[in-house]
Amino acid sequence: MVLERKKILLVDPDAEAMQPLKTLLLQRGCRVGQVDSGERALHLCTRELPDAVITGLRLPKMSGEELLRQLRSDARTAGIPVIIIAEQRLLDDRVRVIELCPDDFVPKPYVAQEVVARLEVVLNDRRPAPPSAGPDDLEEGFSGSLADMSPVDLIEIFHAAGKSGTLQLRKNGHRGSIYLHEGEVVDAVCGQRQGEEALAVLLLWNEGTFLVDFAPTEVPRRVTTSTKELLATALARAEEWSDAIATLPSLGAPLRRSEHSASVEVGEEEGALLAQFASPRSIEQMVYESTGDPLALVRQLRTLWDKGLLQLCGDDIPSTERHPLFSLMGHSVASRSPLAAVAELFASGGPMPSTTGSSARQAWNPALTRAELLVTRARTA
Amino acid sequence: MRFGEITVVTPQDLDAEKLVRAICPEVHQASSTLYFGRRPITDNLTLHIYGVQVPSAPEAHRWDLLLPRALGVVVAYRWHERSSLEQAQRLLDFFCSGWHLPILVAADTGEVAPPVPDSFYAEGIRLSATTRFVFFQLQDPPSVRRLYTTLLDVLVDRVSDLYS
Repeated sequence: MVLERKKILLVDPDAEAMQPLKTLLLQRGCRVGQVDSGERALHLCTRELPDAVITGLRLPKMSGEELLRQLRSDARTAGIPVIIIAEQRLLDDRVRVIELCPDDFVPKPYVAQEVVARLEVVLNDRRPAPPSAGPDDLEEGFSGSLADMSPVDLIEIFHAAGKSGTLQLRKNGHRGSIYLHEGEVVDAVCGQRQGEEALAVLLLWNEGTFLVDFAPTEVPRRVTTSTKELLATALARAEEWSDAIATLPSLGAPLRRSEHSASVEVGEEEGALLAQFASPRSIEQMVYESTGDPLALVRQLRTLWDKGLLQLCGDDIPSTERHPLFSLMGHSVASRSPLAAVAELFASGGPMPSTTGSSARQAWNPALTRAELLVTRARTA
Repeated sequence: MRFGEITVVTPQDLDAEKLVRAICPEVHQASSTLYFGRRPITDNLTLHIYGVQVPSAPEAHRWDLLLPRALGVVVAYRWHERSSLEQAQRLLDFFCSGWHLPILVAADTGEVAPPVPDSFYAEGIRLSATTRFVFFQLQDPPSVRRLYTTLLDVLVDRVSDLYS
């Protein structure tokens, strides 16, 4: 309904590649124009004032980057929402997207449904552009999903462009910030961690959201390692991290000591770690609240998990599925009894959520990123 | 694999299974009151729908198993039945006192068309930043599917607000 009768301009030299998107937009009641160059797009925008423009970056005659700048600098076209489709693997494209600050961007390869869902959100959210909108205003901020651009990608962009500013990151209710000066990481904060200790955690976040703020920061330098070295190390650590968590349950799932652990002798270090799971805690929570090397911590936790000293809360659930309840549900496909067990567990009554005040209410931590929600919405409609 | 979870809760007189089945090709019945459905979204993303038909007081259930990872909750009831509204009200009070979840309140008008034009509530009537109200007809699958898209719209708004 948002899209009905809206004029959408598609800009891409590859008409065939845009065809699925064009077809979908037409099915949703849009009036769709299509041009193959930035120059023609600009001409058409000035004359027709479309409701939105969806463009690639690499265009003949006038690039998508220049097109957006020209649109923003003209009061008549400054308010037209622009969605950029960019090649996420190319550092140059990522730098350009971040600097341009479009209304949204879609990494290639993309599905037409996702672009349409994002377009709907952009058109819903659209507010009139400020009258003084100019090139400098483009650098106010840019947000997105860490699944699309990881912290390492974002730092690479700052580094390549020699930019100063702050990266604000958020994941499952946890927050972190990375401060950069002229392309170099100077400090970071994540929970109790600061400097390189904070970076050790933040560079492993591959889901959640980010906000880029290019305003210069005045933080003292606490990170002494060069950014080039940090980036090189981060890639290797990310691989080690993936290996370390491969056999663990979801990092956000609450764990506790297993009953079995009471009858097993463990070393002092393992015992101390195990003691922290007397009440339910997730691995993510442990990492966020600790100050040591997260990779070392996760390896220790994996050892406890592999020995059967930790278990998911509520049940002795197999670790093949990420969600405790779904573990049983999924298992039920082969055998109905675990599903019945879930029902029994659910109907057994349990702790009432506190009603003593709003601060005691359980916080909402969306398990999906904005991009994933948009795709889900597009494919549920 | 990534999972998104939505919990659909109905009073005793409204069929939760139909609400799950409207978007899930595969539905498992766990008990007379609990249903589970899966809707694959992409190769790496699946939507899980838990349908709960609450036969008694909401506090008699282990919501702490279902809700911590829920993206949001649909509380549906029968528009023309006062007892259904009263049960839905108890559910809403319960969820609102214990959880900060986005909620869609959905009134099933049965075989009678909703009392106001579709355009009036198409995007949900905003009751608060996290709660919207819509009408639907349980017998009309497209109108049931729209419950989910409306809730997903609320969720997109909420995620967008996280930085504002």
